[in-house]
Amino acid sequence: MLRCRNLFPNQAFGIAKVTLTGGRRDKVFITLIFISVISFLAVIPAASSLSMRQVREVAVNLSLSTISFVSLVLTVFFGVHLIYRDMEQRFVHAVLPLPISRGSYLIGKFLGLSAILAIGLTILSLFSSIGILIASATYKSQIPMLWENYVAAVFFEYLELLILASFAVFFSSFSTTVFLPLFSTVSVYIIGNVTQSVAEYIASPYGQKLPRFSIYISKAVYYIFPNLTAFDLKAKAIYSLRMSFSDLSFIFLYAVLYILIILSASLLVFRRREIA
Amino acid sequence: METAIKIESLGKIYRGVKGKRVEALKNLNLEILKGEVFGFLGPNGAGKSTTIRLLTGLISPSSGRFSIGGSNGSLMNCKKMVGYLPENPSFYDYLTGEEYLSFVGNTFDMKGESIISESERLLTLLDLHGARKRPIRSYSKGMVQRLGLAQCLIHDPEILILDEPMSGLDPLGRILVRDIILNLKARGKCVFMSTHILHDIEVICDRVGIIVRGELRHLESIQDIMTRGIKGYRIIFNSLSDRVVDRLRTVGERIGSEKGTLSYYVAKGNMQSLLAEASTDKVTVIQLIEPIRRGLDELFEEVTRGN
Ligand SMILES: Nc1ncnc2c1ncn2[C@@H]1O[C@H](COP(=O)(O)OP(=O)(O)OP(=O)(O)O)[C@@H](O)[C@H]1O
Ligand SMILES: [Mg+2]
Repeated sequence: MLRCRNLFPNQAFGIAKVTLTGGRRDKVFITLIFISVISFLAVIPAASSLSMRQVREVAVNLSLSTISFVSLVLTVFFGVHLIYRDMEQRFVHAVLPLPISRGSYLIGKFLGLSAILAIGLTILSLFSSIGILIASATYKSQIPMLWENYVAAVFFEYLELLILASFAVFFSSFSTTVFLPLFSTVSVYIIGNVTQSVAEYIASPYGQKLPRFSIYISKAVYYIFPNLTAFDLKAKAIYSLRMSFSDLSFIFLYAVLYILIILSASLLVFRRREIA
Repeated sequence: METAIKIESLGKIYRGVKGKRVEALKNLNLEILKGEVFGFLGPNGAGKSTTIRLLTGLISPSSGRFSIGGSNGSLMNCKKMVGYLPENPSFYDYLTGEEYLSFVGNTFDMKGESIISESERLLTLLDLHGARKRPIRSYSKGMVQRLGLAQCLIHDPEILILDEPMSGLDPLGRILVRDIILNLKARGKCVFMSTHILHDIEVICDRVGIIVRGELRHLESIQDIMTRGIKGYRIIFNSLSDRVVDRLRTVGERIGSEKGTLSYYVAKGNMQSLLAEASTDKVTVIQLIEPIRRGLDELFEEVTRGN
């Protein structure tokens, strides 16, 4: 935290804090988290015990899928509203004339969103763990539960969402509507999740028969858009598979770099934005 | 006196959809001094808010430049010296008034204790103390406006830029804000404000600028406007001699009579001779002489209509 304080000005933290407060008090946030907590404690243990055999595996799978879905909704919802709402309700007219640079504002907004998502994911993973413990108690699994895998799965989910959030910030930095960031961010999510399969297909003998043009396009898409498949560690968590530390470090660095690049691009655009 | 805000050939062209250009501000030159309250007048859409948004860095100039607080430094240095109240302000509505003030104080790198004491003082001064722990969403229009004033005063800035500070306020609120501004002036601060309420300008401002369709058309001190604006006088007589009545028939105009007094209007140019006449007269007794001014509203109309 101390090092962060030197890295970012006080003003960015002020914006982050305000954004976080807004998130915590948001009805959508409270409702989504509340419903998820109920489903972790009641629905998931009940549903997974129906599977009879792999109760724990099913519980982990359902929990992680629920977390993915809920946090994706949170990211897209808060991500596209992050800047749009400040513009639309003219909060920026009072905020940007304060001694806050455009950069601090943007970074602060992104940090605030990251904090909202971190809090959301922490609550979700805590309650889902309780759900998993309840489910495991009903039927003993042959594979031991590796909680570090579970935590890693949630953490990499978080990184994936931060990449998505940075795209939402990027699209909001120039858009005057909420629709462009919404559709673009969802598109990035979809493309990011299929791009690896497409790349694998193209590398295969079948793919080589495709017209050159579409090969180039697919390759360009693969390099421009984030590869979100890499962040999906669900299988590793469900079946308690071993994870390679170097692979994870690489994915982590990839996420950090990606976010930095997208945020820098957002800043270049947002710096020149006219607020009238 | 030192310059607080210096604006040099500042211009702004908005580029709307389909390349439509709106020249909202043309070649504005203006210098505002420390300790001066400057009133910025003009009809709707004249370019007042555009000028103010340029000064606060919300939009960037198409031409020209400005400096604030004598610093030719960065925009950030300018912003640190300024307290700004936007027109029809709107603040993070999920925060409470108190939380918002603390957010603002924090961005000015104020110390924790002084944020607390200053926001306490301003909330009380602006009659928001009872509402300080309520979300801003629940505030009335006038309460938001008051909070707007509190947030631009919290760091005790040298320069205040206020876009229609009186709008949405009740009569008591207006008097309060007027007193706050007069107090700022007494403490040597510079206030640059736009308004549509001419009476406020007469009472508060030292100087006015009238802007019409992006051009500064008129720039004059209130005092000059007031003295130059005297058209004539209303004279109330307790008693009148026939000689003076005759005289008044030619140079004046009877405007009323009540409780044994008679009142006449005399144009400025005729005043001297009439007074000379009346002073040699033992019967004539003058109760009151009152100057009749061409008000700011007439000047405004004249400048705006463009003769
Ligand atoms: N974002 C914008 N895009 C295009 N034109 C704009 C924009 N903002 C303002 N204008 C135009 O610029 C002109 C000046 O507007 P401005 O808001 O500065 O007026 P004003 O003097 O503050 O008026 P009011 O008294 O109504 O507040 C107007 O013609 C307005 O239509
Ligand atoms: Mg205006």
